[in-house]
Amino acid sequence: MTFIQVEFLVFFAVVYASYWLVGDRRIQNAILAVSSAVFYGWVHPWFLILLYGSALLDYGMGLLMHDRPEQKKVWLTISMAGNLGMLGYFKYCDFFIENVIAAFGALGIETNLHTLGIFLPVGISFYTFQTMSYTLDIYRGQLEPRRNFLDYIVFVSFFPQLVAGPVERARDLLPQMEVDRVFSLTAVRSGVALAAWGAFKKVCVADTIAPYVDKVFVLNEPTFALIALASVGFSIQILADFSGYTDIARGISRMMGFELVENFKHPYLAVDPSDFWRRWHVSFSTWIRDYVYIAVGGSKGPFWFTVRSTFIAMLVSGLWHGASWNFVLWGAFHATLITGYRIVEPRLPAAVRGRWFSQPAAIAIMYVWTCVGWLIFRETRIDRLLYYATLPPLGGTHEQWVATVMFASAIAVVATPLLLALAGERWIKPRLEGSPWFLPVQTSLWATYAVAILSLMRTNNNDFIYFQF
Amino acid sequence: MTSSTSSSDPRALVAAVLLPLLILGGWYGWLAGQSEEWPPSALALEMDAELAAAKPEIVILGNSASYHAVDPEQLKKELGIQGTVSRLFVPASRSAAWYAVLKNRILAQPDKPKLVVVVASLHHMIDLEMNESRIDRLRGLLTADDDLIRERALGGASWPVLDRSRQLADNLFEVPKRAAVGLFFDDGADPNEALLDRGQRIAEAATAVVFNIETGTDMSLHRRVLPVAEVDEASDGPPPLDPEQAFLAEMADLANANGIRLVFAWFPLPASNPAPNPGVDLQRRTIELVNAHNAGWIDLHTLPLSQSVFFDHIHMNEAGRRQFTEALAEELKRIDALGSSPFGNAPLPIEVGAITRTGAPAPLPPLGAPVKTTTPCRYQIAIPELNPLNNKALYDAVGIAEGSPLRLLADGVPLKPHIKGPDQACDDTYTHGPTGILFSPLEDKLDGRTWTLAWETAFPAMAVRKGTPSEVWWVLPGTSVRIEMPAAWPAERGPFAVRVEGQILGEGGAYQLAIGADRQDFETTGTLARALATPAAPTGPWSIEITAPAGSAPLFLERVSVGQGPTATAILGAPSAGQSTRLLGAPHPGRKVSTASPVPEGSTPAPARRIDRPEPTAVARVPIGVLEGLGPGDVYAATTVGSCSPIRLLEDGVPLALAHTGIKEIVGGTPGAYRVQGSTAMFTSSDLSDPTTNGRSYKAVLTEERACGQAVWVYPGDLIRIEFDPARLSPLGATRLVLSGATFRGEPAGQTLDVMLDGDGVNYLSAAVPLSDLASGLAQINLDQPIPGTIKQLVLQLASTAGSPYVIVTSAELDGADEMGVPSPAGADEAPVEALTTLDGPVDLPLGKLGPVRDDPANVQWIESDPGGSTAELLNEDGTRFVRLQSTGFGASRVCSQLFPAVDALARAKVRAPTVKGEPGVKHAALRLEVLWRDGAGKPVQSAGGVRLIEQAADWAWADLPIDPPAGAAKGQLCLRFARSTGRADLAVWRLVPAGG
Repeated sequence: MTFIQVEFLVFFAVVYASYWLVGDRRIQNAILAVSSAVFYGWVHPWFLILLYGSALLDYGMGLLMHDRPEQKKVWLTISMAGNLGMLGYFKYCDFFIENVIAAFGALGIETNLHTLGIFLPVGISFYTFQTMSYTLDIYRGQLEPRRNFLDYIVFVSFFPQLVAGPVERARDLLPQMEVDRVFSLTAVRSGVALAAWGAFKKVCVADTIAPYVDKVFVLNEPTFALIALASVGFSIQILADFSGYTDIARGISRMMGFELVENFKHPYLAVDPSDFWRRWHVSFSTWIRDYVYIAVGGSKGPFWFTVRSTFIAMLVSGLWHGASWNFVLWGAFHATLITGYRIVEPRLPAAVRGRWFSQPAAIAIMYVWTCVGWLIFRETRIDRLLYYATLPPLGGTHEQWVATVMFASAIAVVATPLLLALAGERWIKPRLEGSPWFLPVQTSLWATYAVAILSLMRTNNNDFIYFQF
Repeated sequence: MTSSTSSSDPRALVAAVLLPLLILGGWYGWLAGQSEEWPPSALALEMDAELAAAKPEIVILGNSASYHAVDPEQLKKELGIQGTVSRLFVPASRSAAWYAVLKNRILAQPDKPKLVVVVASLHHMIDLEMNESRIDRLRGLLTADDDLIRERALGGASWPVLDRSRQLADNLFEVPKRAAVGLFFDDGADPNEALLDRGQRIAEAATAVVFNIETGTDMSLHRRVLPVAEVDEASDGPPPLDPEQAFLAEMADLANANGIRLVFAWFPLPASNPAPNPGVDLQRRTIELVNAHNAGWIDLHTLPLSQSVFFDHIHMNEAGRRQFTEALAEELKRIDALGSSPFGNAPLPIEVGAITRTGAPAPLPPLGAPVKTTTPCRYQIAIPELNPLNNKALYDAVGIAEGSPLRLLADGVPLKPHIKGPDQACDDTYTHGPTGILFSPLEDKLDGRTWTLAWETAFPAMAVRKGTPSEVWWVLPGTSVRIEMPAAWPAERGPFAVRVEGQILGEGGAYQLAIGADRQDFETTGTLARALATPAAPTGPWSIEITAPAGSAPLFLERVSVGQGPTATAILGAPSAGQSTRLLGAPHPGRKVSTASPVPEGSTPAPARRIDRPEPTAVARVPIGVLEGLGPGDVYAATTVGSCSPIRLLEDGVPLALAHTGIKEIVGGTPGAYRVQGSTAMFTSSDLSDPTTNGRSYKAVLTEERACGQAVWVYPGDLIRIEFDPARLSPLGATRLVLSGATFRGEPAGQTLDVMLDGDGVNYLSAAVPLSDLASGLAQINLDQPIPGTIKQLVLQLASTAGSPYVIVTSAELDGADEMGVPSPAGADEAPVEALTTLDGPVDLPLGKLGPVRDDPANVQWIESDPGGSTAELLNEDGTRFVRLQSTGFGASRVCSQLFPAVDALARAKVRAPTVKGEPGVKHAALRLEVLWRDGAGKPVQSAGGVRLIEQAADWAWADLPIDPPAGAAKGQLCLRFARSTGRADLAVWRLVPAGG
């Protein structure tokens, strides 16, 4: 089940009504556990076996770490092996086999290996990381293991953020599962606003620009300009898609009395590569920072050591996004950007620091690099990427330039609401927020979103891009 | 539970309720204003216009795949009808749209067609999935609300919402798009044209070119780039397939009620299509449904079409369209689709029961004692009588790797077959190679173990075909393969027949095919064994039994099929289009290419321009004028035969010596070297004088030699005659000619290449082949009459008109002689040694075949492989033959060409090694090319020079070496080995070039 489905609206209405009607926290959690199972197992009920398998493993290992602390390294290892093994099998096994076959092939050795055609369970990358954070935090002494399995399973399977995040930390979300919730109209209003905006971004921005982007990426011989625009289009698509999902998740969670982490903080306003990762997919990037980057040494050491840690973290990050070399390349690209910036930044002349143009220029430059990264991310074929790199920047026939202008106009159309929202958030919202007239503005906006969504919604909505990760 | 609210101004609260109600109400009002009229879409109007104008006798209905599968004019001709054939297609549509077209467009016409043929894959016929674009298109095809469509296809949804959303989306994107294009582009076509109209016109024209599905896009690039298939399924489940819920029965009923004949034709999909054909159950349900509603059913999904006749994963190109249309016409005639009698029941799919092996295979001969090789931990046992079964022989014969049916046992325990060959790890592995069984015992010791051979017991065995695991069906001596068929032969499937085809690896025997009690022997031709049984159709469960007698060689089953004609069902193996004879695109000794046509004019002599480069050599450029686009880069890009540029550079009318060489030669000071790049040729003069000051004129012309390697050029206005050695032709003859190539300089659309094929004075083909077919890579032409296998002389003539583009035909293949066919006669790979004595142009020596290594001149093999651990193999990947030299020690191994006569006329030897890789860690691999000369008695003759080191990647594409046979030399042999490094080289071509060639 996805958020942009009539079935979900019905499902959520039933869950939401019963959730607040029962009032008792334990029954509320039971409702959440059952509804999460229905949500996740809607099409493939057997996915639940994996979800609960992973949850049970970490639940057990968490308790063992507490009860038998002298062997906690063993329990952590079992937890990690179980989770990473499951992730490795379902997500990376075929990729590994493909590459073994290719490697043998490159050596001139024929193999009788073949890929297994393994079906990727939705959200496996998210919930395995989330449950791993539970055992890792217990291991580090930052969290007490939970004995109440119901609270714990709701934390693991909480349906708003189960399949595409945010990747919640146990120490942030679990405590919220364990306290009574207060029904608040303010929270409902705020949650509805977030969810409505998220749905608008998904349906009216991401899904409307997606066919345009797709059309360019299937061209046999695109021009440089078309590919560059496609990267820009994709940058809008993936932001609207992913942040749209997160906003819906955060909005409906808030309506139920939970606060999820803010996952996107205007990432395209980043002024440098590190800043980008402080703004993009924050829950995941902080996970990588805390459990990978710091675990492998972080920046405690000479420069090369920091570089090494950066590359390890970003390569893991890249591979997490998908079992494909372009994602690894994307991770390496960002690691290179971060490292490069660390080298260049101290050497920047004083003349370009702190000037009126410094920040806009930094944002523009970082956005261009981000789009290059999205090109690597979007195009899974390395040979095509190399081909794009050889295209003359101003090449193209008359028809291709016409197509470029058409594409640019489509991008302008879908980018407009995002820019308006940014402006509204910066300049209008602060002026209106305290006013009683903010409410009618808000409800009018919701109605406008509803009209736009109902008008533009397609029955074949693209799934949220991050479902595949 | 507690609650909290925030206080507000009551007026604001009222506004907060009223304003959204106003917005939603306005929107509802807008929707409610939706007209009840059903304006037809542009597609519907096109269909109406087509139907009204053509008044077709036959309508082909379907989606874009159907559109590309049927040629209306050809169908009309094949069926011999007077009326017209129209194609109506709705892109990406399924049965709901076809039902809508039938009901609202076709039946709305006063003149109704006699026959409607729905052409689609079975998957598309019964797929119920609806998406927005399908709904959009469906809406525009209706003339009124349709309960059936609304309920079944839309789940009861309302049209106004859908309509308005479409309008909104259109306005949102279309208006800015048109405005932007109109603003930026003004072609001046109509000064009074409004900005938006101009924008729309120019945008539509550009869209048709840039996003053209057939020429501009590659839909396979969609793969995995956005939400992947598994996610779609994970979220929504697989697309629903249900014949009863599709609109097939309703279409049939509607057609029958209006006196229209309706036929469903199931077309084939290429192997690359990701959606498999639905299973037997869905097939049976669909056919039963069609039968029950008196519609016709044509099953062409097993029509043997190669991947090359599809331009993507589903759409056919011109060649595919021609073949499919022909088959469709035959089937329409067979079921009397244009007649008036009710359609008979279409045959239900054939079910295949268990496939088992019976009997015990004949015992294998005892093995001799293992012999230790010079390689550590490697032993060998020769098994000459079983040598034909070795992995390499099998790969060469049937394209199966690691498929030998022999297993090595130590004290009765099987060793592990090694994927490539036993290495030096002493790991108890073995392989069956050309020299026998090679194995690596544990600890490099035989330990007195007893070594025996056994037949592979797994049935079917697994092997590798083109990198993919493949089932291998061996009929071992003394055993039978039995295929149970649980149901009687359905009479609707036509005449009963069973065909079996296999390869005999070794000495043959009396193989037998039994259909129940009916038993017959196989016919064998060379290594091919085949049998065709046509007993009475079984009326109950039956079986197919293939038996190899004890003492015979094992039979490798390639194909077992039941039924006849294009709808024959393959039980094992793929439908076969028969063996072929390669006339062009492969070595064909004795081939003579001649022409009397003049060569088109070359460039106008122009002053050479000096190139500003640091090299001391006077390197210059000269424009090639009208020959631009025919350079090696252009030819390579279109055909991968880069050496085949026909451009030659003349210096005062005399050809410069070194055509299309590397930059290194030119800047390195090789006299008379040149290379065409883009619009100019970069060159050195014949005496290295400065071309800009030496007073000579330089002009680019076309070579008169039309043959280039295995390809042939056809210049505008040419008539080329190509004769073939009858000994190289397939004894089965042919029914089809398949041409591939490319066109240059000029638009191929609307242009043709005249192709004539004559044999023994009889014309077998006279056709004008559209150059667009060649440009798209493949043209398949059915011969006017089959060529018999007994033909003595064959002449292919290719002619073009003066205004046509330049054409290079890179491959010409005769095939389709018989469903089973036989390979070309043995020895087709023999070198044209004698032909060299009358050398009149470049000659490519055969790549060769593997053989034992020795210096014995009587036993010099084409490829020499050093026993020191390096290997050389003759491989065939994706239809490209090459020799792979893998060297693990300096100079340890080399590959050599076949011996060739030491003819004085020979001036250069060339090799092409497109892939050269140094061992890991070696950046610069280097190869050594040399000629080894021998006297009449086979003794080595020393020669000064004649050695070339090839170091740069650019050189590997084409490296050449001057040849000067030393006194006393009778024969020479080109050899290539690694120098300075080790690694891997793939050698594609050995070429000998005479002086001036």
